[in-house]
Amino acid sequence: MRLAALLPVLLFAAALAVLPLTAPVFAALFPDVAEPLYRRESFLSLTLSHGGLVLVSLLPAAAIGIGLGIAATRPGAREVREVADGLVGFAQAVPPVAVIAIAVPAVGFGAAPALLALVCYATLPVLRATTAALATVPPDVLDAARGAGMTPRQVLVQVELPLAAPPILAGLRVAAVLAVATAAVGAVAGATCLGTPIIAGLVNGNPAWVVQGAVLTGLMAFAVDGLLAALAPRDQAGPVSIGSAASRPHSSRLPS
Amino acid sequence: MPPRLIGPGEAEALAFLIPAALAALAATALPARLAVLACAGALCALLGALGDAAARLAGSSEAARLGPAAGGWIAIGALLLAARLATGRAAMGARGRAVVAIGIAAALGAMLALGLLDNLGLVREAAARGPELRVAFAGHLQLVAAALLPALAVGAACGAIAFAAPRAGTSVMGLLAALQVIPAMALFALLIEPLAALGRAVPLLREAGLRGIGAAPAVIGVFLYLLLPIAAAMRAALGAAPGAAVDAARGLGFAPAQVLWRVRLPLGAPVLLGGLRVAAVQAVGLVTLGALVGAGGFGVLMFQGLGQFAPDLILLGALPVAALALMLDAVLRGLEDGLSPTPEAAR
Repeated sequence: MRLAALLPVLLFAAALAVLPLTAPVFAALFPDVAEPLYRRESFLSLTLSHGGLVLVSLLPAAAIGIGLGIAATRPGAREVREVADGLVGFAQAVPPVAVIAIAVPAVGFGAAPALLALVCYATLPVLRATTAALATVPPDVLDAARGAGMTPRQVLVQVELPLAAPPILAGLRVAAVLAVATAAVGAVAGATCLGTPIIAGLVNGNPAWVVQGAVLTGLMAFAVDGLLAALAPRDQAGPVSIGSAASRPHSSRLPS
Repeated sequence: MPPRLIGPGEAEALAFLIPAALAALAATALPARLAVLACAGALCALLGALGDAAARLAGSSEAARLGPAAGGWIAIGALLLAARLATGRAAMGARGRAVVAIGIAAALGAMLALGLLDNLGLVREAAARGPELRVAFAGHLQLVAAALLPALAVGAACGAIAFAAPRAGTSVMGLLAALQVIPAMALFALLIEPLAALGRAVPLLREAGLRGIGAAPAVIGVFLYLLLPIAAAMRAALGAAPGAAVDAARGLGFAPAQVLWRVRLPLGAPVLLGGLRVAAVQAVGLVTLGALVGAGGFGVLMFQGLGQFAPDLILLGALPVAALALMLDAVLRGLEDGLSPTPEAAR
């Protein structure tokens, strides 16, 4: 099961290794194109840059999401929860590409607008998963912990968080997949990532570059999904778990 | 040309202080319903002050571009959030929120009609691009409909299969979930070449508008993404009827088809509508990215603005998308409340 979850990672690595050798194939597929292989940057450096964007944004997103989720579920913090709900509601109405575009006049072209959007959108699934997971810890368990003389901090660290860890990890997995997609869109604002060949191909009328960028972006999303599935507890690893828990923020609003 | 930003020193100080004071008062002292009113009033006062400052700053120069500085945007966002929180505190429900939203929109419309905001860069840009805006609006709605309507039919069928045959359903839902993992930009881009090849192979399809670049990859891509929320909602909707109700219907001699049409679907309707709402909001956002592969809609304005480094044009593409998504969400949420047997519990 876990090894199967790592299959997309291997596939992505294989594609990354083979793609630089496929210039003749793309030349045959797209005879009209002068330069059949994207060579402005190596695919490996694009991948590293893409992964860097995802990692750099995922850490603050996880910290903010889990922190805000914990704050929202403390007794007497109804306001925090409402602010979080309100922010999530507004954020879901604005597509990531709009956030990236709006951020450009404020922070300039390059990686900055993508990072801003990445942190915003990767926070949402983590926050949602954390509040939901902490809310489902049975009250009996909390009573027992308090009755045993635990301080609120001990209850949180020793009881609530361990019990809520699997759904929070699932939320992180959703956030990571979403971050891969959002980082790719960052290419429209000049971020260097696997979306760059797609944009360059669309702008220059080079369909071969578009295909190369799109294949690698798609495979990278599956690789990240598989990697985090392999890390997750066994019962969270199936492909169906993202289906019902939603792999993008909007569908997490499913009333199921 | 980047716009000149209106800072706190350039509007009447009172114009910024009054909204802030009103909002602070609303958040702490007022009963919730009055707080909603105060926030809405503060928002209108702030916008009016910005329009007034723009009018004075623009003065002689017709070409000047004026927009709120970051603080102005943050204040607008904070007031919207405060209004939203106050509606929650007042337990106003989806319909009450819709009334508030319509009220704010009407006030905004009145200010626009009176010409109070005419000197803001965004409004000037919108006035200058009226026909383009209308084309973008119509295009956006058409693309959403073209993806959503087929997705409703196919997604509902997938959900029904998943409910009736759980074993086959698991793999169907797994496939739909796997589709969600593909980044939208990659999926749109990957659809271009196969569609172009199909168009070359079948001239009839090409005459019908199927080319690689254009609406087709965006519509098909969005359609594929919408299948999961609709199928999941359909599956949940069919299972939403309590077992006792289904048993009672069977005991009364209902045929399986009658159980489906007269028990399961009516009782599951709010759940299904919830799925439709999620799918519709998602479609509005995803279609925006479709402009990248040559589909129309508000994304065209946004990418045009990005290319020209024109913040007003970017906003002109982005704000309507957000407004459209929020409006669709509110309307469908209201319908859901109306359909639920216990509206209060469903909110």
